[in-house]
Amino acid sequence: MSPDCQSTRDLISDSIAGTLPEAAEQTLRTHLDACPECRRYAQALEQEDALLADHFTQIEAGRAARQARVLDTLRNHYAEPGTDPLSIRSRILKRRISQLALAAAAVFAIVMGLHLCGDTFRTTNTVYALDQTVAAMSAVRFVHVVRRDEVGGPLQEERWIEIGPDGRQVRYRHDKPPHHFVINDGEVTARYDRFAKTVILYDTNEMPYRWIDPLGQTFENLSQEGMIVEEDARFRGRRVHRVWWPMMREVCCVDPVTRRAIAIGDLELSYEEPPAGTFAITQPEDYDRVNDPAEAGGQEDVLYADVELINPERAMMEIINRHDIMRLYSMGPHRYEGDLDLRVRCDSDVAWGLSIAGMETAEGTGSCWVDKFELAAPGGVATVGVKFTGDAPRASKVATVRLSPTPLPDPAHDARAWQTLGLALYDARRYEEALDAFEKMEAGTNADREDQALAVTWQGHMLDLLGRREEAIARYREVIGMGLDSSVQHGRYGLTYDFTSYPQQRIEAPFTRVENRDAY
Amino acid sequence: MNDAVDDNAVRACQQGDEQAYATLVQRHYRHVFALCLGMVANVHDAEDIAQEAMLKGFSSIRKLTETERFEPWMLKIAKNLCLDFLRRQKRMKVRDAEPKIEHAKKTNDNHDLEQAIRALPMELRLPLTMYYFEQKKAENIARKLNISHSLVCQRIRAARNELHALLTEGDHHES
Repeated sequence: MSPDCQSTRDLISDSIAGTLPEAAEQTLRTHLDACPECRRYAQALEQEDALLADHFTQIEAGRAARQARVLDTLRNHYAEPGTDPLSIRSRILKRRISQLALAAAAVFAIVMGLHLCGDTFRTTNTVYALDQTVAAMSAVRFVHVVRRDEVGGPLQEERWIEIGPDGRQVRYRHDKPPHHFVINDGEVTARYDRFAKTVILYDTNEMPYRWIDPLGQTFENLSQEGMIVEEDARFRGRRVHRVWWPMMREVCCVDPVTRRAIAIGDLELSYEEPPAGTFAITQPEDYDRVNDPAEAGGQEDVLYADVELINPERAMMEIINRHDIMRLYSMGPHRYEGDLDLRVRCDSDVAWGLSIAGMETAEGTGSCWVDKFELAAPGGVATVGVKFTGDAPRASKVATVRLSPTPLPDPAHDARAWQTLGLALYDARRYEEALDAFEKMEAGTNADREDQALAVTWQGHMLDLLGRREEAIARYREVIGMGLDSSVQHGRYGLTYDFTSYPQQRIEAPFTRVENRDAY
Repeated sequence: MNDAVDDNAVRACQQGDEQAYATLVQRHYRHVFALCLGMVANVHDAEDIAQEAMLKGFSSIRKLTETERFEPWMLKIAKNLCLDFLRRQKRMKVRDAEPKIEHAKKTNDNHDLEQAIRALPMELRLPLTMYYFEQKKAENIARKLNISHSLVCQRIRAARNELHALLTEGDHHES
């Protein structure tokens, strides 16, 4: 197809839509007279337009009946004042009987889950399968997640999540000192600002806050793409199965009895019921309530700036309401500028990467951080919030924050993911597979020079452990040839090395195994 | 003028005249349904969500402070419900649940057409659907979606080209 024909196809489409200017119509007609291929295309599009019109007319024909059903439902509602047709979930939660039924259903689900899990364990005591973890995790009611920098150290982050019998998050609490603290009680989300001593309340539909969404997708990924790295491993003194969970890009430690995850990367998980009041929203005496959407007609207390899309060919953006909240239809790597609380709707898994990239690259006129980030499933809504200190632009509305949300590549091409898996396989003494992982790490689409040097260094380590000394030495020479002057620290192995003297040492003496300290 | 009608009806509702809401349903249901259909691509789901949106609007009408802006408020409610629905649906989907177009050779088959519409990305399907519900006027769609006229035209154009490609996919494989 000639470039002329390609551009003509857009004209054909516009002509059928009736949006083509008269002058362009003339150009189009001239081209169609001379080009049988485009003429056929025009005829096909006209035919499809007629089919579409017919299709939607048929649907529209049912409007009167549909509208009547809405009016009937409303009339029933008038007749029964006090019933709330608004939210099925809020109705369930507000009605005592339903609450009991819900609790019973949850208990039933947990009991059944444990029962099934227990049966599986008894009959397959020595055999572990990923699906057992998926089944066990699907049945949990509460998840308690904490992160510490070191064993026994202070909490860096804590989350409580209540999950309903349908697998959806019901309530949520996330405390990440010093600034971030959010409670979602199922109907209202309270966001506390400890610096400004304010609390903002949102309808939970507006500010949902979730840890992992959708859970089903993450479990599906574990079930289908996960890998058992080591069945009889140790993690901080406990016996565990170690499992590779690609979507999380992390190694997960599974309790061999309950089959539930007890750690994902540096996050520790447990499943106890939270203390009473964990999800209760309160207003400390010295805090101001900035806004109550319920009283202010759903408006939010956030500032919005004009948003400039830097890379428009890769993403489409539209302003969706009078507050100029931005929605970004993301179709690939992109950059944008904006102010506070950007709503981002993503059509791909790109959102997963936004959280990490955003946190790493946010910069502003004062210091700033990503206040929150919500993962969006394709077609869902994600939210990125950015808060400022220093020359806080909140008052001036002139601030610009630059986020460079370069999406993470698919785990199959993600250098960091291969590094994590490679080290886990090394821990499990699966050196051939680890070598393969470090080769894939080197080839990762997001591997920078240091990643590549690290990957080649570890290829050398694996080759040494496999007794392939000549090949190992070649790898160490390759690292020296890269001429990097940086160094790397592997805390859990007690290893610190650079990319010049260390590979030279390894040329002189082969690598000997060091153990993962997290295992003890 | 239209906004004034809405304004009066909303105020009446807020003052307890529940029947006034029927006027709002009659005036806006069509647009709410079109938006839902464009987003979820299934008539029955769209009907359910549109109904839920209208009921939610009724329950929350007292929260609407700009009484002349009933339509954008209502469309926002519907949009949020659709997004919520799509999130739930995505969670329940199995791996191969994405609609595929197979052997779509005939363009006069409504089943194929429906499948092809469903296979369009939502940002293209939505303006295309609304185009046929809004008397083929791009400016109406732009106002309702709060996006520019040129962006609407661009998406409708892309939707037509994509739809044609989907409907003739089988033909290309054979040639």
